[in-house]
Amino acid sequence: MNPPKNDKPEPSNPPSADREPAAAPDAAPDAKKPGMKYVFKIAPADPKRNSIDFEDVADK
Amino acid sequence: MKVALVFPPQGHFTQPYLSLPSLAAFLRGHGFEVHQLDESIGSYDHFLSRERLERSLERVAPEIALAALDGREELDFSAMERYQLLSELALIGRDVTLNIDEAKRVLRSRDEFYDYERYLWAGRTIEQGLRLFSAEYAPSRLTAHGFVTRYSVERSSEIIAALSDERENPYLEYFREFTLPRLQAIDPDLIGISVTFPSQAIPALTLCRLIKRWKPSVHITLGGGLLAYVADKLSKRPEIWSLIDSFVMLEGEGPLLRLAEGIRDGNLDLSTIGNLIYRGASGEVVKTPRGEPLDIKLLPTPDFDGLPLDKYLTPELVLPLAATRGCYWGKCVFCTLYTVIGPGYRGRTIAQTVEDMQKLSAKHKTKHFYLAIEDLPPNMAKRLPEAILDAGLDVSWWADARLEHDTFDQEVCDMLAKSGCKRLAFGYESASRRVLARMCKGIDPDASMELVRRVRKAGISVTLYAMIGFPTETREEAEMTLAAILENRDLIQEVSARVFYLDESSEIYRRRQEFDIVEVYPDPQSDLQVYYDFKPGSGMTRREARDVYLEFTKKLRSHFPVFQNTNMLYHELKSHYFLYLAEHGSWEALRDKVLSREVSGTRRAAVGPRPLAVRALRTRELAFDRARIDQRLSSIDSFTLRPRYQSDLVDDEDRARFDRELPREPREGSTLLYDARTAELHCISPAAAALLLRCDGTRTPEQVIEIVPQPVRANARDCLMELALHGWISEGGWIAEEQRR
Repeated sequence: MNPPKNDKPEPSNPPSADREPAAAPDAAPDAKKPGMKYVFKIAPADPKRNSIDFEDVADK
Repeated sequence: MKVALVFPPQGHFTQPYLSLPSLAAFLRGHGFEVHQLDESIGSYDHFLSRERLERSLERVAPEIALAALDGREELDFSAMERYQLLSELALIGRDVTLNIDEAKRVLRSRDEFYDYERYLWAGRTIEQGLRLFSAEYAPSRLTAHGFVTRYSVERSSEIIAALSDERENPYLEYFREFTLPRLQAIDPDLIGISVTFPSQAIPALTLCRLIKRWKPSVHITLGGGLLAYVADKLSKRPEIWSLIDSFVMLEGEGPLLRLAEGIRDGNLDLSTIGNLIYRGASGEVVKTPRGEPLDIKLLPTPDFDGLPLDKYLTPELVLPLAATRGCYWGKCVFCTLYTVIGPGYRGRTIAQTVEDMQKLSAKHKTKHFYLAIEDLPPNMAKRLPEAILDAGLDVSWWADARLEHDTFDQEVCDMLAKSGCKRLAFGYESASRRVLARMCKGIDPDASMELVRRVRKAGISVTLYAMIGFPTETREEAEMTLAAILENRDLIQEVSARVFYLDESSEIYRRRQEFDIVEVYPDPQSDLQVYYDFKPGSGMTRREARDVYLEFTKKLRSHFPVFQNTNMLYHELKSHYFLYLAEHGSWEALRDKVLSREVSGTRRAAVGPRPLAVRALRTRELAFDRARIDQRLSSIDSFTLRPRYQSDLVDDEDRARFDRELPREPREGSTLLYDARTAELHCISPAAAALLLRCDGTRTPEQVIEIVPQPVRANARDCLMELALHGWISEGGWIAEEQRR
């Protein structure tokens, strides 16, 4: 059914050919370190995952 | 004799689909009373309403659920997922509920839709509304372009189980409250349901189940693109025949007319209707012979009457129109659109297409069209523009097209632009001549880029489709594709990249040995499976292909405005980018006047003498670091997970393992911040939150940061500057929020 087209019944993500179990994602950073109290951080709070964004451009 | 045609959830909410209007026009032309129900837009409109979201907020009760998580010492993977959602809803659930109707109004308002700041506010609010609604049915998730549940649409047993799941299937309640009463008022004798996307399978059959309980005698027939792939398989499941009476394969016009005539005349004989699957008297599944494709020159103009055209979330209608059916090229070995969905290439005349545009434009007061075709044929690329101009039509339109090097010369491109063509999407696929030859694409990559250059010179926006992991493709070949796209990034506005997947109906599947596919892995439990995992004998492994795909998308993210932060215009909302192009005339104008402009009028680089936090901010202190949770969850991508067909939900097996094996997230405070003017959410560290809190209009910047030890004062000053850049603090005694309004 490739390539992606508009108005076509296509999957939004491809099936995997990986038969082995998935790898673990990034490990948690180390627990609180000295000096963390005065870290000034501002980050967008975006709940989206990376995985499907790109495949949907001009598709669905 | 009445016919009801239903487009079930979930499709896009920015434009109507073509299936119902095409069928309605045809049946009406034969004297039938036809009612069209777009339950996709109907359900979106209802779910995204203040009244409905208030119900969601009450049912989800995010405050209580979040407090329980905040009381924990650490969070496992599942708890992090819930925390991400609940922290957002606890802070903004009320605002979203109050603003959702206004957000829809903005997207439907000609004046406000093209005000980019208002557009982004509305788009974000809609997304937040979808997350609030989805939380009620978790893990099911409804987005602007998808509906996923934990039930796999590749397994008929799971689809059947989903139909009665009141907890996770939101459409049971919606259909009972809205669709069923509407159908009861119409009281049709024949109901046709068009299923285009896999995400519509569960909602469509949910509706069938409710209809059959109400009126067992009504004939329900299911058709549409998805069924062309799975109807044969689905028909083997006995339970399906208590929900429906027939499947229509391929084009619906002919079979639907014969069904309607048979029901009207009381002599319905399904065995005489071509392209049908039904259950015979003794319970056997019958598939009737394939009928001839229709001559589409004989079809009427699509009829959109009866659709709720004021409900789509655009300020101006973008109407789909099919000038052709099927693909005139029809050789690409990976594609099945020309074999399964639309065998037999046919076209309407240029004059008919122009007449269709004229009629619809006048009737619906719109000038925007999407040519819903596989590819713009050369004769149409050359002759349609002149015909549009000769007819004096002021329209804008877009379409998919093949990279026909000899057709798209500069004169043709200029004429296309002059006739209102704003966007062309081409299947570029690869920069490797060897790979393109194996695909039977019939194009040369260098000549393709020259073509793209001519299209761009004419002012038309270019979208390229690219494929990674075609069997035998090497990493070097895939990297060539990425390099070619990046090298020509000034010519390309959008790229849609995807990993190759093996479709059982494709030519490459039939000839898989020629493409060095050494093993295919069907999932024995997935009786509706269409795509198979496989092992290539040469070129990249599947894992390597996905690795390259992720590298590819990472690079695209950093080089194309389309993939950057405020990407709503492109990714989510099908017609919106096109409408913005049409409004501004060209990509360059859109880029210069809108996208490159500083988004927020309140941003300022200077911190005032008495900084004051603006009133539009809402904050919530959290016991865990939401930014770190976001970062950890976003690392769970399609490389880490085993993706499920049509779903990015985490598989139960993976979830259990992640919960067991991943390091737990320790308590570490943060503050979630919502700017009601932009609907943006940020996570700020406790130190940054402390500074923001001290910006009360009574302190100088130095007094604000004096709580910070001397060695980190410079950092605190930078943080104040950043708060000011976000427009969150204004100069003393003056509130930015009010100035903006």
